[in-house]
Amino acid sequence: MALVLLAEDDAQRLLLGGTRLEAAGFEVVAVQTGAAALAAARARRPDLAALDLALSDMPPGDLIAGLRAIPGPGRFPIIALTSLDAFELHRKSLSSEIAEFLPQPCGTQALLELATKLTGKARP
Amino acid sequence: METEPALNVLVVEDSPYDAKIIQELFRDIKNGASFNLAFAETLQKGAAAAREAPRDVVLLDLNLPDSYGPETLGRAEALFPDLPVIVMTGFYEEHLGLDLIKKGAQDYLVKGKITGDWLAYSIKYSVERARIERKLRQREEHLEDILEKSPDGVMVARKDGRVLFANHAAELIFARKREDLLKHPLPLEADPDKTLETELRRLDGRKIPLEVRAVETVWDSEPCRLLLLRDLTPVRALQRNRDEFISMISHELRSPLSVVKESMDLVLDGSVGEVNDRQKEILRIGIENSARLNRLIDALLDITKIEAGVMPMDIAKADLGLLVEETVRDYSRLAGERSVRLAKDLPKSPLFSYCDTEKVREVLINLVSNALKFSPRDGTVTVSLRPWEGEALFCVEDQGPGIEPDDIPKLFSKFAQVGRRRPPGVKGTGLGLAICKGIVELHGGRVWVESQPGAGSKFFVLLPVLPFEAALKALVRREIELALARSYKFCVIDVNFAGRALPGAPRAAELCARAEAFLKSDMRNAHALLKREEGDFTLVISNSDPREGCRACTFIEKGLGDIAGLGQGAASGLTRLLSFPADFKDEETFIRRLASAREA
Repeated sequence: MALVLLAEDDAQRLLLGGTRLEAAGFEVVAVQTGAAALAAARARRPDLAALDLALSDMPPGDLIAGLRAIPGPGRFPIIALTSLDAFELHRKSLSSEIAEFLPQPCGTQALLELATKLTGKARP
Repeated sequence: METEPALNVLVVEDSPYDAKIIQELFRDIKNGASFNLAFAETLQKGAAAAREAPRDVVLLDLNLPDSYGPETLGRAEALFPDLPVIVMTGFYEEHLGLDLIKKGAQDYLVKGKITGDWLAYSIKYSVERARIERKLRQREEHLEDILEKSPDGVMVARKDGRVLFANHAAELIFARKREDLLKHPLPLEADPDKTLETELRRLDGRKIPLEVRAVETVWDSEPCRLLLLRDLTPVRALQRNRDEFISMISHELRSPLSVVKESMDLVLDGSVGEVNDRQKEILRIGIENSARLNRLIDALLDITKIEAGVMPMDIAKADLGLLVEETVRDYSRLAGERSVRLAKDLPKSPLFSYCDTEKVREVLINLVSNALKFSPRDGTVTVSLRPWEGEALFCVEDQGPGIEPDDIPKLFSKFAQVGRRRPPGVKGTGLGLAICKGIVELHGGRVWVESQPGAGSKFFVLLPVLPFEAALKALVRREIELALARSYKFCVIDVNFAGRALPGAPRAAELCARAEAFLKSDMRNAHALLKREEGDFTLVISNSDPREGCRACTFIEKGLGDIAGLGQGAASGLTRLLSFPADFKDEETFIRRLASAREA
């Protein structure tokens, strides 16, 4: 079962996204801050991270760098939940670590599809 | 008999002999009027005497120790600005008389010819005339003051456009001196019957939104137009604030609404437990309505972007006839369900134009779906396209109930569902036609309706048929206006992927398609994308300086280089950057700079 780290500062969105992923068979660690995301990823390395790029406690660059600094085999893919486009993220020097973008606000169905695609795992 | 107050006369006369004669003349005056006399031998002493006590009139000798000849009058007028001046001349100066009156003397009297009564009349009339003149002058000054201080421009122009009068506000609006305005024909259309809103293109390149009202008038017995001009820039600024407000609200609405829909979706599809059919039905009503609300928010955002001039554009060469065909095809099923015949009428030879295809399609869809909504059963809706004086004329015609004449002008306004009685169950956003109008005007076109109650409606869209360069020019012009209004910079990036990276390459078509997909997704927040032909693009990036433009070029070259399998060096020539205002100040210069950049 793939583990998804879902970071989103809106508690309700977090609940909905997590519910959708769990219903499809993913295991979800849901957090509301960058600090909690880093702590969770250090405690247990996720197979995928879906990150709101506008978390209140940490700039997205720092969060991504922090996640990348966690030792482990290979690099888990990162989905950016953002209203920026790839070039705007490039302007902010974020694009190289991001596998896919989900324009906000988006449905959880789109998140599920991307997660399935990137982890190669559907419902067991 | 009413006694008049005594008049104070200042006699400026250096000859004691003449002064004595004058004194005697006054003594001879019999008709009851009384005069107080004061004498001065020079202009300077006269001025001092006038300061000492109030005077009503000056009797002036032209030849004085401190001033000699006709010029004395001018000097006296400067020294006694509010007093009537009567000139006393000798026999030898009699010929000067008329000239002296023209120069402002109230009267002239020839010494030795005057009698006391004559002198008395002359003085009384002069004083009275001067009083009237002063009043007239005051009134004129008031009117002039009002005209000059009015924040609205006031102009008078002949029928041939020649300007005869302009006030200070008109100078400010045109950014031209009055003398300059009077030299040139009026650069404005004006219709005496209605208030026009227009845009004034100033010599300094700025565009001024202007309200023009005109009335017929007569100026120097010539029929003319009186024009009242109001600079709408502050009004527009208010509108912009309002637009930003709406835009913010829209985002704030959209976000919770997506949570609402998402929550219901999760319950409906059983992700959080069993749901029975009754519950599903209720949930679907909720989802349907949240979707409707979402459409309304989308429409609100669209119209806001259009009005604020920030609607992103995606321009490519479009076969307009094909667009009609596709729309008719897409809607034939819906038409069939309503038992309406959907017909098309296309020109023999195809019509191509550079435009935002999806937006023009949205206009057609809007008009066609409206026409279907209002069509009676077994009616026909006809969508036609034909060339019209070098432009493309679309028409969507229905046989519905038609529109009341009073409602026609309101039809294209926001939230104006006034035009026609809506059939039951039809719920629109109230923004469809306003968005249509906005989109058509974004393309430099026009939309209107011809309809009579009971006789169906014809909605017309006249779109200019633009070659690439004209479309690009229009887009850059719009961007320049935006940049000037918001004082920011912007960049235009020319991306000749096909020409520079793929000449003779196999799979060129596929690579071009991938390049287009890359630009559309990874640069989706760029302000405008123009496709000249396959693999040849121009990209407008709002609010970016040359440095950011360079980063964008690098980003694009990297992306396109990956697609074409080029090394970094080979990809580095794929883009050309032009930056406003560093490289060009207007769209003409832009086109020239772009052409030479592409040749280089």
